[in-house]
Parts: sequence; C-alpha cells; structure tokens
Amino acid sequence: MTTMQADAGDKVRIGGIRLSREMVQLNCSDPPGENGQALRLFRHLAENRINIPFLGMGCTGEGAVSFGCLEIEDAGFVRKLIEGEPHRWPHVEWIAPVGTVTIFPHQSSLKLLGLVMSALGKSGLPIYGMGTSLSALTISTDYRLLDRSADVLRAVLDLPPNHAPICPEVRIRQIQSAGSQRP
Amino acid sequence: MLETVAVYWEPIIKTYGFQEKTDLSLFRILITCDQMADWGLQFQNIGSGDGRFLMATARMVGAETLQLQLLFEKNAADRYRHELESLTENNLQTTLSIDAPVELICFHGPHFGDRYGIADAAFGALAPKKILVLAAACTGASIYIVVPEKSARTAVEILSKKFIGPQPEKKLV
Repeated sequence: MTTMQADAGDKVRIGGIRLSREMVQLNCSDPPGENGQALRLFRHLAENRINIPFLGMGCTGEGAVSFGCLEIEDAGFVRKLIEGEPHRWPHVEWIAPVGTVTIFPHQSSLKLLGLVMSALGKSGLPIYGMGTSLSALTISTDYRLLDRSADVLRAVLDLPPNHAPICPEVRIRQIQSAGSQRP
Repeated sequence: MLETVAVYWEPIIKTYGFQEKTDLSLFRILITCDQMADWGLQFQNIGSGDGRFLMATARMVGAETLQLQLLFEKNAADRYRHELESLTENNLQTTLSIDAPVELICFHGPHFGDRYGIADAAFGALAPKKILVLAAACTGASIYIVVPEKSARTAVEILSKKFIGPQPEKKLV
C-alpha cells in the first residue's frame, strides 16, 4: 500500500489518452532556410483534398526537416505521387504503419514530457514525431505497438478511474476546399 | 467506424484569433534513441520538477536520433539553460543549441485537425514573404509557428489575409 501511494505520488495526473487509427508518416528534408519540398507536398495534398492530421517542422544545421502523418486511406495516392516522380521528391522518407498517441492535458509540464519519454525509451518504443497543441501532447510511433505504448503510459500517468485509451469511433472528413465560397 | 462529412463554406478560413509571444528561446537537443529514457528522467527534475514549456516538437533525424525542440519563456530559459548545458557537457553526450530571441504565433480554428488545406494556407503564405519557420507543430485544432525575432507581427499580417479572426459584433444604434 505504501509503495503504491509513493508510485502514485510520482505520477502526473492527466485527463486521458487518445489513440489514432492507422496512418503513414512522411519525413521531408530541405536545404537550410528552405521548405520547398515540404511546401510542394502540402500544396499537392491540399489540391487532392488530403488532410494532414499531425504535422511538425524544425531546423537543423543541415537544413529544414518536416514530418506529416496522413490517414492510411490517403497513403496510396501519396505513394503514387512520390514514387511516380522521384526526382521531385529526393528527400522524402516514408514510415508505415504509424499511429499517434495523444495525452491530454499536457499542462506545459516538462515532468510529464520526461515521464512519457522515459517510459517509452525504457520500453524500446520509438518516437517518430512529437508535437504539442494548446493542451495535448501527440506522439507518432509504430502503429503495431500503439496498444503497448498506451499500456506503458498508463503505468506512469495518473488517469481518471476506469479510463481506457480512447480510439476514435467517428471520423470527420472534409469534402469541400477550405477558402471556398458557397455556390 | 462512423464517418461525418463536413463542408466549410468560408471565403476566408476562420480562426479563433492569433496570439503572439516575443522574447522566447528555442532549445534544440539531439537525443539518440538509447539516451531517450535518460533524458526523460532528467526532464522530470528540471526547474525542481516544475519545469514548463510553451511548445514541444520532435522528429527523427537519421535512423537513431531524435531532434527535440522546446520553446521557453525567457525567464524559464535562463533558469533551465545551465541545467541542460551541464547535462549535455557531463552526463549525456549530445548537442544542445539555442535560438534566442525568437517569437511564437499560435492560432486555433474549428476542426483544423480534420480539414485539408490548412497547412498549405498557413505555410504557403509565409514562404513567399521570406518568413523563416524555425519550428512548427500542428496537432488537434492548433497551429504553433516559431519565427525569428521581429517576424511575428509581419507573419500575423500575412496570415490574416488567409485566416480571419473573430470580428467585433456590430452595435445596433
């Protein structure tokens, strides 16, 4: 009992964990100061009504790096696009299958971030991408290990009683372009 | 699995408004996969266990290395810098680089995470105007963009042509 209380004291209380459906992740590398390849990809996806539910960008000394996760249903189109014109996409990598685990709220807490990284790292679970919103911390990892990731995180985070990781039961898909006018 | 189809009839994409923050510090840490657990343990103790970030984003660079970017307010950055530098110099052999000062733009909109064209509208608008994106995270309905010093105001002006914030209600006279 004492041990359990001590463990609970080290945990960070959160509201919940949400798991995504199966996705694919595209990683783009561009020369320093440029995002040309990533921007071209965003334009192609927008023109073909493909959403990017999770996206991150950054810079290294060697250039700009970006990643975007797409729904599995959109993977075929994007693979065809990239493999059809490989000279236009010289630095695009493809990771599949991936899934995202979203922890909310993150409370801007380095302790929570550290707990998550430590738990996943100790279990040998990969982090392919990470990003925060106003309240949520989202991590992309191997889709085949998504349930195991959730189990590992549940062990170190203080979840509400009877909470189970939420898998989406509703998918929202936009069918008309953003920036369009009512006909 | 249920599917809900949404149609947004918007001449300009709606947001809940832009926020800007200035005088921030962007920390970049290269972490090898075998060091991830150790770094996680160290993060739990930063700021006496009460460390706070404004934004976190990461991705793989190469097969075995994660590039983590953490955005901090200036006061927090000044406090955490020495702790992180001592870790990189002594215990955890890796690279820490800091961009400061930098600025943040963040905005949120209805179902941004479910809608195509949002990233293209945002980043496609900034690039031609030579606004350098140092880091960005888009998840859920949020877009966070880190830009160099004295760029946030210009970036918001550019984005305001693609995204519209809440309009003040017209008063009846």
